[in-house]
Amino acid sequence: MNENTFDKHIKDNLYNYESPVSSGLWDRIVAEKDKKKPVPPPFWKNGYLQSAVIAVVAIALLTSTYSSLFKNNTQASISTNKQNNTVVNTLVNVSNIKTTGTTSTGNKVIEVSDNQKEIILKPGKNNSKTEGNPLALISKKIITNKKEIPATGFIADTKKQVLTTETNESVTNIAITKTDIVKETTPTPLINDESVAYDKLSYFHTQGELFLKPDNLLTNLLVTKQLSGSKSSITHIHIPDAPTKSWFIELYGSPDYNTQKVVATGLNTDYLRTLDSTQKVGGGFTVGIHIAKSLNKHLSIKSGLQFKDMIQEFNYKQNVTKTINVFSTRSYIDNTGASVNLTDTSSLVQAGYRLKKTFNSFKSIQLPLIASWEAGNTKWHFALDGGLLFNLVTYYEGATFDSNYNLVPLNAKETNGLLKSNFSYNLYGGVSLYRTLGTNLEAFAAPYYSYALSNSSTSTIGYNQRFNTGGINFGLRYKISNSRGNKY
Amino acid sequence: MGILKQLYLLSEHELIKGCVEQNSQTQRLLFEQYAGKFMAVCLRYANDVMEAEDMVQEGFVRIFANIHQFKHEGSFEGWMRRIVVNVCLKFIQKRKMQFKEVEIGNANEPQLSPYVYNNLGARELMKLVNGLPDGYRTVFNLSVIEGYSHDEIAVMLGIQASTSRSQLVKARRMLQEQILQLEKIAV
Repeated sequence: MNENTFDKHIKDNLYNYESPVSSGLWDRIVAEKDKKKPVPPPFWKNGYLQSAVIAVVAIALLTSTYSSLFKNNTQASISTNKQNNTVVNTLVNVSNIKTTGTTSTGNKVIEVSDNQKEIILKPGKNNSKTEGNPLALISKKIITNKKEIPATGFIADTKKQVLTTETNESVTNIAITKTDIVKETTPTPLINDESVAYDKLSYFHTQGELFLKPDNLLTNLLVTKQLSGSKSSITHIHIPDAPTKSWFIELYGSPDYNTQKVVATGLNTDYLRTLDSTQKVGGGFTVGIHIAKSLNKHLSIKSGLQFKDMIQEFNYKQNVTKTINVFSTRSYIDNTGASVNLTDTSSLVQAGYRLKKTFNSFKSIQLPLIASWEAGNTKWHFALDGGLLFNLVTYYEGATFDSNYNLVPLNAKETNGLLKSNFSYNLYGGVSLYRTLGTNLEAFAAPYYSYALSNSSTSTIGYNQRFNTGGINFGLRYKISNSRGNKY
Repeated sequence: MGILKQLYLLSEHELIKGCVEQNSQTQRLLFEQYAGKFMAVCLRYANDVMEAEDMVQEGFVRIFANIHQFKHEGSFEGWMRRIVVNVCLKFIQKRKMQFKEVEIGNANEPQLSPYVYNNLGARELMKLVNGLPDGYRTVFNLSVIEGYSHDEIAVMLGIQASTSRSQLVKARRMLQEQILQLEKIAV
């Protein structure tokens, strides 16, 4: 008898056979369905909310840290000024500023507080006559309505110079009396040799040009004044704007810790349980290169390429059979007195298994697209990083089980496309802390977390597998743009 | 509008979409379309009609809860059917089914010509399959009707693949014996 014919006959009859259903079954299903309505997980178990809460807490912490740092820096600057007996008092609280008028020469007058006014001088024909050399801008007096009023001033940037005065007079017209440079009571010889950088403030000059860091305007002013009062042969001073549109190159590497998430899409729960108990991901590393560009004082974007290597431990039982061949030789003396040698051969087969541990390797080439918000001072600054990490290509090496528990090589092609070798993407978030090492060089440490938004497994495998990664990037950032600010 | 008429108007894609959106009316349409077929599936694994209805109920609840995971790759009915069969197996596992060896009168394969069983309709075959012992019946259903391999059945039932094979052979033999008995009675 043909089994196949018999089986086929039964399958043909029963596969699509329908039986009557009691009328109340749907109502029972509705009641059961309502009872089992999925309850949203608590927010601390929800992946996205969890990430959002962590991000908000991190931002709050960093903002408060930055605020306190900024406050300390401000106080330090003022005390420095007092120590040098200067009268610079130009830290303006932006929220207090209001425009009170414009002078006839086009200079803007801003009332800072009740009796303190700032006059922002626009470069121009009228001003150039009275201001003279911008380096000698530090004036003791300005004339408003034919009265001389003590004033202090500084170079704000290429387009404006600021004088501050304390007066109750309404300022409608300004003439500036060029006076001597403010003499420091204890002038510090900032620059002794024109070819040597003044590294304490990270300023340097060469061939008669002085380059200043943009971060601390008050410190810049001090340097400017002292230079102007000294007999240095500096001919130009560069006061750069914020580091806008500068280009950087970053080289970095990170020890990584990886986690895997496996979710069943089919019904292979037993298979998944077995697979999960045999696989364990852990360590790995990432190395890469970023090209970064600052868009303004705080915002920058970066991209590049990185190589990621992840190790997965795979433990499995391997069936083993051993054949032992036994050769035994014995000799005896027979009844004729002759010596007889006998050789016996037997074989023994032992079956069992051995536990085998292998390490699977997942090598990926990734393209990061990251936006950063940066803040800080000359020596230290930090950045909040966020973006996407695109997995361009992944190579797998090692072994895994197929759904029949057979050992198969872990290779995208050989496992018939069980794992993706092509495009997938991750959400990237992190914090970078930078330390200035030289004029153009910075070191950084950047803890990060990469959350997989797409699966590394294909839909044919019956489960979704994702790998998340945490690590700390350690690296160097080098400024490669040539712009050095504005020349005076 | 009658349910059957609505079914004609809804494509499978719309049916799935409505169920993903937890639309009760679409869920009802899906139930109406497949309840009879899944009831027959469950009856082949269940001990009685009440247990089969419990299986169908649990199957549909699971289908509605997980339908968003269906990726439109392969047959939708096949996807649902696997869920229902899996539910049946869960019920069977609760019963702690034993795979017992049953004495069969004739150790040799009965000589059964297709002419004999070709006359048997679905209802008679259903009764015959349901008359098999639990272990035989489950393996027979999974292997012959659902098309699972012995390795897959072994994993699903937590038994050896060789046990699955032997249970199938014995189930088939027992069925054929019963068909022969029926033939003798008819004659």
